[in-house]
Amino acid sequence: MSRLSIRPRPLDIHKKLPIVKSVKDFEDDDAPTSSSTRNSQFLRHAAIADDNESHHNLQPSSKPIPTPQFVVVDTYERDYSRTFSQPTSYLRARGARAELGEFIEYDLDNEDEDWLEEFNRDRKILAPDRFEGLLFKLEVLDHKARERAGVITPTLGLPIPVLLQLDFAMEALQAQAQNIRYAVIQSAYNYWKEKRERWQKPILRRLQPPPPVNDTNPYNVFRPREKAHRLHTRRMQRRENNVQSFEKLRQVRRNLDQAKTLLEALIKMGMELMGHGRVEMKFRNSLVQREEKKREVMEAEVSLQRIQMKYKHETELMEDGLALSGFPPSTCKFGSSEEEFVDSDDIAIANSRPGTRPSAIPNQPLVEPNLVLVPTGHVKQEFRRRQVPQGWLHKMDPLEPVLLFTRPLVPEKLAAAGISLPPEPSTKDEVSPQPCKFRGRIGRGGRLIFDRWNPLMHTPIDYGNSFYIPPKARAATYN
Amino acid sequence: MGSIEAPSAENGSASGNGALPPENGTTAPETEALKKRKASVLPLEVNTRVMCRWRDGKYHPVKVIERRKVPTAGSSEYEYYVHYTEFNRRLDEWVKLEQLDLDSVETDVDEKVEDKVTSLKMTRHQKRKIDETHVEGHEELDAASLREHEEFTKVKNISTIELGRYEIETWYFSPFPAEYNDCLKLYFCEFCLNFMKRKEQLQRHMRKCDLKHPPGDEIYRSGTLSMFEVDGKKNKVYGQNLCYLAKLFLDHKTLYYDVDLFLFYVLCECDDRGCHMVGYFSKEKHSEESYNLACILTLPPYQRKGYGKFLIAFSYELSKKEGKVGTPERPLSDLGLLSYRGYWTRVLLDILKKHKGNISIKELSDMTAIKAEDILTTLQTLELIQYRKGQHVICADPKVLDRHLKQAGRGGLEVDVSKLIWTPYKEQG
Repeated sequence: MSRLSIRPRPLDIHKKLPIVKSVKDFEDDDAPTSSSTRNSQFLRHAAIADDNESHHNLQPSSKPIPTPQFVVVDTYERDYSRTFSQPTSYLRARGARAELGEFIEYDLDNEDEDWLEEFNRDRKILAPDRFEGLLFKLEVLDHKARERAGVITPTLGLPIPVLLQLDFAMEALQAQAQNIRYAVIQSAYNYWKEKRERWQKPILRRLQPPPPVNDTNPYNVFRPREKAHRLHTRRMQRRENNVQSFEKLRQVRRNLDQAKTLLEALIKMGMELMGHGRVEMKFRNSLVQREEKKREVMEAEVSLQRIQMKYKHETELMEDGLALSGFPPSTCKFGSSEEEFVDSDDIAIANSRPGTRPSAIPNQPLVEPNLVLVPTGHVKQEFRRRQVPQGWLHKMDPLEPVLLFTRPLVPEKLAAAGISLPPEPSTKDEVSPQPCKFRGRIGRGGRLIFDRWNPLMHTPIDYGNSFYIPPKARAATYN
Repeated sequence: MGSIEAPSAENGSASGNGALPPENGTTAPETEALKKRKASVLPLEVNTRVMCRWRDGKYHPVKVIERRKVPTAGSSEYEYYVHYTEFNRRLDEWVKLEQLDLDSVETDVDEKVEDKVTSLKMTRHQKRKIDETHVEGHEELDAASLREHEEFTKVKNISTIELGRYEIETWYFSPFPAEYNDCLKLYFCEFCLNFMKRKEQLQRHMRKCDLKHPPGDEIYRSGTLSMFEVDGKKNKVYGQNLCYLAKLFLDHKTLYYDVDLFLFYVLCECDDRGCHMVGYFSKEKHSEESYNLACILTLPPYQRKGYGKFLIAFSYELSKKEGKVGTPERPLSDLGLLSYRGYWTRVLLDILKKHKGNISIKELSDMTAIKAEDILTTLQTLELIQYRKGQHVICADPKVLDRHLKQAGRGGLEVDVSKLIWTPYKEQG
């Protein structure tokens, strides 16, 4: 198991695999066995469990899976007659019993038998199989009566009424069963009608309608299967027209409304603050911060594009402005939504990567947290394409490290945007005003960057140690 | 669930051995202490854990699922529906008080105490996984649907059935129509599968029943063995009867939808009394998920005779005739999974033993009609697919293959394809 870390390629089922006939072929090979490293342990356990199982199977004495028991019925040979002879050709199905129409499908149940016993108490009036025949015919006649009346219900919902009238039943039954007296048929009819009305459904199972499709009671069985067209992907299946989906959409709508309000505020501030074409990035980032779940963002995608369209003309205006100030207009482009969405995870990753992370971040949030801008890979690429502004390498201070891609702050612009410079960090106690001289710059993505300041030591935090981020500052930045 | 009526039949005769605690009346009268103890725990609450004497004469841990008063006693005596925690639910049963060892009663095992035992160094997620997988045969269901399933089916309604020559103890709940709620034993007609509550009803039915075999076309015959194909649409009542019956022995079968979209392949042993069903499998007429089998059952009296393997092999022979690959619908039961693993192992390893040259999974799939995924899991479980020098190879050492083949068991009855006379459903028009 020396190469556990190497994960083999997934197996291509179309690829021809060599069959190795002998284990010896492997033995010189130091990197051993096992198909998929990750799963191998699991599989091995499964295999072991399997082995055990099959083992038990081989030796039933050890431990077969116990099952309930059975016995031979002693009346079997009397109940079932030896009258079957198999034809030489394969047997073919005849029509179903219902189609043949001769077979008495109904079998007396307990209450029928009890009623009949009572009925026959004094003298034998009606044989059970004749009674069975009567009940069966009553059921069929009633069903036909309902068919004629056009009240056959496709599914079992409301009680199914009895439509068969005594005189009609009598006529039909007397024609079929001559030697049963009128009074007997009448008694049977009355018994059947009472039972039928109590059951509120046909007593012959074949005639009982199935439960409705939307009936969820698991005790009701054999409902018709709805012929709904199956959606092909899981995702499509998830989007059904039900209450949950409705709620989900409403949630998306609420989020979008919030996002819209935010965006409008941001546009106002952003245009004043930066005058750059990167405002759009801010929209996205802050939107992402508003949204808690990435999935919801995905689902909001369509509506978002609509919002983007709405703001597009504003951005075009900004691009015009940029073109005037010498930036290539291509820097600000609306990409196709999805892959440009950045969620907070991505941001965190982007930031922990040395080189992309700003070497210094403000120790106090300068403006409201939502406005703190976070660089993304996309911005980085844009910057490479962008012409480098004049004087970008100019060092403001000999102590200051070379910070690529930064530009000095323009105090006038800041003032125009309504941003005042932060107070000197050590205004409370003026012990060491010298090293804490305000140093700010515009970083990549248009961030305002200030050096960090250790409030206890009253010293700037070492540049060389710049990967260290005080947890508090970080939290304030990304919340 | 309405009222649960007590069974009229006496309890099965469990032959106890001498080392067991006293049974009623066989030894000295109860001591005062025992009486007191009884009074304090009886009647047992649902969820109580206690030891119970099983049919093997030994005591096994059980959990009380349900209880009901014994009507004949007229007193406050109860009987209990128990689940043997070591076994599958199919062995759950009603037991009398004297089968329980009251000294072992643990009322209301505190969930938290249990937690402490199992949760050591485990995340909640891991623990939940274990909880789920511990329930035998339910590995493919999530906990919630499992609980729902168990609540709905927790007590068997029908405890025994008579079917042809055999009286069989049932395994699971089956949703018979409400009119059958008040009985514990059903009498099935062996041929049309109608079920009745009284033996006399069955006997009267047998005098008139016009069937001696399943009401479909015979599509296979070899010796005394015949296979019938029954269309659920043409024989709705038969199909429904078969489902009611099969559910008594299948935990995760659903009777939710009607039978007209299914074909039933009923395997029979034939003699001069007729064709006696030994088992069956059902199959969707059109499966979008390429299932070639929905439910499969060998009736208990015919189990361990190779019929199950025959049914599985048969389902794949049908798929081959259709020119499709197929796979059984999930979840498989414990017994079902075992049979399928055995079948896949035998079929694939037989090919690998003989095959010369390279072979792809797809080719194996085309040859056997077994779905590629099933082939992969089978070979991977047996660790026959290995990664060597940058490529996958199939390890087919004859000794290794023979060992696996031996463990997979014998193939049971062979399907003689030349005796299968069958047109796939679609082409029947």
